[in-house]
Amino acid sequence: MKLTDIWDETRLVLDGIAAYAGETLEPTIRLGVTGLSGAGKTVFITSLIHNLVSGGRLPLLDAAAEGRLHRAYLRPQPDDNVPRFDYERHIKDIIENRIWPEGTKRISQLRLTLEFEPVGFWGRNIRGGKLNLDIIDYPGEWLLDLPLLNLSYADWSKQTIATSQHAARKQIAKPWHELLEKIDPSAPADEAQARQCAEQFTTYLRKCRGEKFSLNALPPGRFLMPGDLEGSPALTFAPLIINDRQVQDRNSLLAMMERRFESYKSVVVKPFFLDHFARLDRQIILVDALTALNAGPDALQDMETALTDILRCFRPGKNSWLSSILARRVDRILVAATKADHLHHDDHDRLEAIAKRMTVKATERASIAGAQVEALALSAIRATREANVNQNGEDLGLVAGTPVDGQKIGRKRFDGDKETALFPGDLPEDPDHLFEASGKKVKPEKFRFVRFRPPAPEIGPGGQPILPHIRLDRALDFLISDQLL
Amino acid sequence: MARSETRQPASFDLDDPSVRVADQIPASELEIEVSPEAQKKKFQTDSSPKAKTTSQEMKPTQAVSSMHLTARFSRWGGVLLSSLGVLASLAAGLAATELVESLFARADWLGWVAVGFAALAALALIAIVTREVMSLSRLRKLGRIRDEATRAARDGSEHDARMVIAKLKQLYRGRTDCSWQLTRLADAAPGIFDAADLMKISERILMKDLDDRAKAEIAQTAKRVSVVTAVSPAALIDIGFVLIANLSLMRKLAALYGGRPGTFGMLKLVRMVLTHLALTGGIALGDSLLQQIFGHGVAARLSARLGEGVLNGLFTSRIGLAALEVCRPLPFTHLPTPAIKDLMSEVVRPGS
Repeated sequence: MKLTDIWDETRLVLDGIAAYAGETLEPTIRLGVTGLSGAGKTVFITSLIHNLVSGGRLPLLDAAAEGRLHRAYLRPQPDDNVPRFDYERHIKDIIENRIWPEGTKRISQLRLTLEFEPVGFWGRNIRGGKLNLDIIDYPGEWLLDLPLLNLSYADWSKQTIATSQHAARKQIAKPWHELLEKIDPSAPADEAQARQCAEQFTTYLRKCRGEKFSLNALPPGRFLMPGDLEGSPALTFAPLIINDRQVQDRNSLLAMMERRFESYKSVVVKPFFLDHFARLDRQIILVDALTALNAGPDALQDMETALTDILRCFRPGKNSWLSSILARRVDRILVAATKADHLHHDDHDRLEAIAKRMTVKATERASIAGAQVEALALSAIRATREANVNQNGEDLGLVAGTPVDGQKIGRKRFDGDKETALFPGDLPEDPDHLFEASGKKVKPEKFRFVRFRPPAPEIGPGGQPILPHIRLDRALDFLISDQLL
Repeated sequence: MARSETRQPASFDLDDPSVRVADQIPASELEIEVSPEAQKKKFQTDSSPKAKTTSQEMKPTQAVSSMHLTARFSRWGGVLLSSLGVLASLAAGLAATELVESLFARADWLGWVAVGFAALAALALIAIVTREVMSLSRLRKLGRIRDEATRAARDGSEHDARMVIAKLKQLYRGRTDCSWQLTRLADAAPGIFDAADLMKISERILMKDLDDRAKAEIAQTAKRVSVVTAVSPAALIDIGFVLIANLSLMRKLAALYGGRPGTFGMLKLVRMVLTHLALTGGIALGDSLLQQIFGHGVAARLSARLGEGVLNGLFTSRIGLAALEVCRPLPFTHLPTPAIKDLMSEVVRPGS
């Protein structure tokens, strides 16, 4: 996919040269953290920072395990025009209030500086033992916009209307479809009508995102995650039914919609792409496969489509010294299935297999381009313990934790205070089964993943609270370990 | 693992006595000895390839498992030895009985004294035999743990890996120089669920320090051997010295890794080391051939004795490294396998 023109490339190259000059003194890694809404981005970043800063257990991060990681601390971020990731508030929510922090609404950034003992001649004498880790948190929905850069308004309208007529969405889209029928695109532009269209369209998109229908492939992403642009004309457009016969009038509704679509691309999508996305070095994509499983095979398939679209946006490839000057490429991509603590560890491999299956196409492409891609099942904050029960002569692996108030399993409802052990159901050994079942009616309640509250904090030897996790250290090891040498 | 189709999501009360929370599973359960049959069975099912993303490629040298090292005598040789042994013990028993009887014939008290001493001797014999058997079994255990660890890291389940860790804990329990590492391992292990990762952290936490000490020990001995060979006035002296130094090096290494060999254990250890050298000799030779030719050549030009000293030092390091690999209860997977070149800098460094 071609997302840039020659001027954009020039700008990226110039940025790259400037960054390279700065980095010879202090190496910096820009780590992008993304995922669709609810995947656990905020929790992941909060736990990652907390574990690094307060010396949590990271036995699988090589530098930490070898005792070479001296300390990590937060520093002012380099980009002054990007909101700061509100680490302090999130960590307070998790540890003191035992509630999950509010999710990502817009892009935010945080700089973490790691001091470590370098290895080898080059490291000790020239490179020095400091690494800036810039963590950039942005909603995965915004990535879905990137493909829009290649679409015209007419094409986008056709595609969007076509997807809304699929079986799973048809019902939700009904009010919007009715409105569309009534509107004449060649009529003179009317702001009220435009707003009505946009509102109906947004309502349709929102409904698709409800927990029951976890449908993910829904550009334009800012309609769901408006950030600071809510209500501006660049967000007040919607697809229309376009016939080729229609006359192009400069004052028609169609022309206005088209103009706004273009300005959405140039005001919203392109700056995000150039200022943030194209400058990443490493990327972790968080996937909440369990919620999709809860919602059924259609949601799962939808998520696969969304992820494939997301992964297609990356500029994967190996960074050589030359390419790191000229234009950065993402050279390591980690696809992480989050909330692994909702499953007994026997099923972690299967969860990993589902994540792999969802990203298989994109992974192949990235591997060919030279980037390393890995998938794993992790849990940034482990909210459960494991337990076993023998039922009808069979050993069931359970997870025990405190379910969030109002969650249900079968007919039982949880009050949010009592610790309970749950058997969430078995993931299938072959993930293809899940995807093949799409469109068919599946047995209800084959799995039921309940949301748990954050764990009661455990106090470490230094008196600081420790956040337990599953494989967070391995994820970190994959993402930054080569920079800690 | 076969799972029935009917397993539905369900919730259980934590007060329910049948629900066992993981942190509360009694430790004794983790320390079950694996019966030989179960082990054999595991070995057979081993060949089924199981995709595991974390499993590391095994280095070829690690394929030398302790199975090769316990090469057996031929069956008839065994029969011969054991029947001779039986005859010898019968003869000893007969001689003792006759002695006691003739002493009784002379005077009762002499007879009783002899009986007392015979009983004491028997007791000592039993003690010695027990100790030897235990030392042999400890040595064998090192090899067995290594085999299990290799399997667990390659395609074992998490349970296999935890069993290995439990055995390692048992091995190093009560050693003050390992207690800090054991605490760290106990702290880190519960949060990890992949067999390969568990093996990785156990190797990194438990073995790092032991490896360093073993390497220092080898280098020290090699250096001593080099110097003594270079300055000793008679060939016989340095042959004797090399022999003793090497044997004591092997014993120290085995003790360091938890083997503590007795006399027979020592014999077995020597045999294991020699077998290991024979099996991996080619690889090790390739590794350091150039260095050897160069080092030995230059040193020998300077002085024949010096050349011999360097050669003996190399020989000692080689033996030491083989002993290290034989005694180490975990395979070299994440930490680098020490090579001659790591030790040479230590051997040729002046001072200390």
